[in-house]
Amino acid sequence: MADKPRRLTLTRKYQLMTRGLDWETTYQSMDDVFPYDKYEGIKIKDWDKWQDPFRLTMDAYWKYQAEKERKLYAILDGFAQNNSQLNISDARYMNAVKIWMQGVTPLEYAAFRGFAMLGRGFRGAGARVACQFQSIDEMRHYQTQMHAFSHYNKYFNGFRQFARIRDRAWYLSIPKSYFEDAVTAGPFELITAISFSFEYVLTNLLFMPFVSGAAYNGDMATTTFGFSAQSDESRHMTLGLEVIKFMLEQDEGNLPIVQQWLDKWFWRGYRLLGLVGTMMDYMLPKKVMSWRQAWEIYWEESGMALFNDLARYGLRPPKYHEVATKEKYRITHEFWCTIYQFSHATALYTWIPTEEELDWFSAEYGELFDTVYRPRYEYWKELDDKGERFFQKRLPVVCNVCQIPIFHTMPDDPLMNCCLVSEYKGTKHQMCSQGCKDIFDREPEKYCQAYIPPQQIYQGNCGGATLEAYRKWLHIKDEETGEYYGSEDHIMWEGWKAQAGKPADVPA
Amino acid sequence: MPVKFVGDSYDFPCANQVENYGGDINVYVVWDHHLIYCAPNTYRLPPDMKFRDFLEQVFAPDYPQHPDTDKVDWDKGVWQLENEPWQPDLDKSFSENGIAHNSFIRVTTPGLEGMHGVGN
Repeated sequence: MADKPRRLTLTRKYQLMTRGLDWETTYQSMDDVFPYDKYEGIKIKDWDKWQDPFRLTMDAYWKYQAEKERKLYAILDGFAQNNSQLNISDARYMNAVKIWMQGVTPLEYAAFRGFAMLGRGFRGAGARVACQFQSIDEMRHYQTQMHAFSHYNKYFNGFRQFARIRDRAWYLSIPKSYFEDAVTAGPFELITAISFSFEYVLTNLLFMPFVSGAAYNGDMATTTFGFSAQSDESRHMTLGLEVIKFMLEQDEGNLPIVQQWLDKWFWRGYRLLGLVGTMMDYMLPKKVMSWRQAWEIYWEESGMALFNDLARYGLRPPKYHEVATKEKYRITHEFWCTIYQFSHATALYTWIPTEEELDWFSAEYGELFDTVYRPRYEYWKELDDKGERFFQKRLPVVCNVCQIPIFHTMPDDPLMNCCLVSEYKGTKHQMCSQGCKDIFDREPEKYCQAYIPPQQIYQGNCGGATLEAYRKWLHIKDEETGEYYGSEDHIMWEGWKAQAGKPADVPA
Repeated sequence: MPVKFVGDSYDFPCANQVENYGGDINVYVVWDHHLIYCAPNTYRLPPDMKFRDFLEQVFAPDYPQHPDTDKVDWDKGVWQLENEPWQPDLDKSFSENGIAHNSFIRVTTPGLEGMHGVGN
């Protein structure tokens, strides 16, 4: 009698999928089959040393993900049927969701593409499989966010053409260029940038404030997709740490390359997160924690502890982290002042914080806030009360690397703009900081190609040379931009609040 | 360390090269200590424009809601070009003053140093 076929254990399945079923090609050379995983200079001696702590198999993956999807969509259905948009703290909050949808959700899609590339690009099957799972995760996150936000699109402005403005709008070129920089690098730099620097080191500064901020502000849709993504994110973080250790253990020559990438991607990630910090400080009517406090907990404590652990591999903390720490008292205020005065060129609303919020800022940020930003807001409020709402009409200088308008001030002088210059091929390029200037100077061939919105506007590539013409080219309508108070979102919200508590209109 | 690449060469023109401006130049100017205007400004200008005309007719009007704007006397400005001390002749053109494409100009105006004692 033949032996009854036995089911494979999960460990054995994983072993087969990541080792046993892979092979050395013979008709074609391995270098031709995997043409991109050597040119960056990273040396891998033995791909079988790759360790994936999750050891996920296909069938386990589909089972877990299907379970999460069922829960998520049940909650989203209930959310929509119960008109749960009425439960948010204030319609100003919705602008945090708009920034997320316009700026971050498209990054999930970009990550899906990036990890699909990695899932083909590495010659080690274990690494490829981990990247393929992550690629599918990222597509799922893109979809779940889109579905969660689609309910808000029925009521609030600013959601309807996220894809076009993601490609065109100046403030969205910040996240867009961040990811495009990563996917146009080689596979090892891409995975270092996204899996380690972003998902491992900085992700707490992104997800914690956003998802807990959503929960605090009554946004059950966002909270639910946040939780649904959480177990994926912990797998992604583990991949990030594994990649770093793997590269450093494989060859000692990899260390200086990896260190340089960490320096670069820490700084790029930090600059990008300034936008998230601003959202957290200014767009959450109910505050979770300030950017300053989040920076202290998640970088100064946890981030530095991580780099202490990594010191045994020879890594040091990323360059200019001290500058980022110096900026913790000002970065979100400088950013909000910028969005406030340019909000007529965004699909967002902005406002002067309430008196109570200004007091919260004073308590969280102390002297610098009280001497610099508070009087600035009070002055703008005076103008606003006179019917002269403050807008900036002239295009700003934008950093050639992080693509943020150069509102940044000098590390030791918060009262002076910092604008540094590098020359390449006879053309001068402006940067916001030594961190961004170092990135430019290391690869000027790459960054000299950057598509910088004000430059492109003046070159005649964006509909015209005025902000009005530019806004038309963005297809942003007058009613979805500018000041919050008096906006359509504001008026609708006040109308809903006025109705709440009144008896239902029952016909006699 | 230059960029690493796959293939034979990696050579692209600068996206903001002067050739893209049809004879004009791109210039960046900031009036320091007037930080209610958040960043240095960007201009596309003909290089033979007189610097004073630019300051009076283009630049100052970009600070319309600042109380210092009406009082400013550019002849008393303290100037920097590419973050180095520099003395322009206001009655000469951009090019005669050595202002090239993508130059970065800063000016401070002693006595007019913004609001609230902090350069707002």
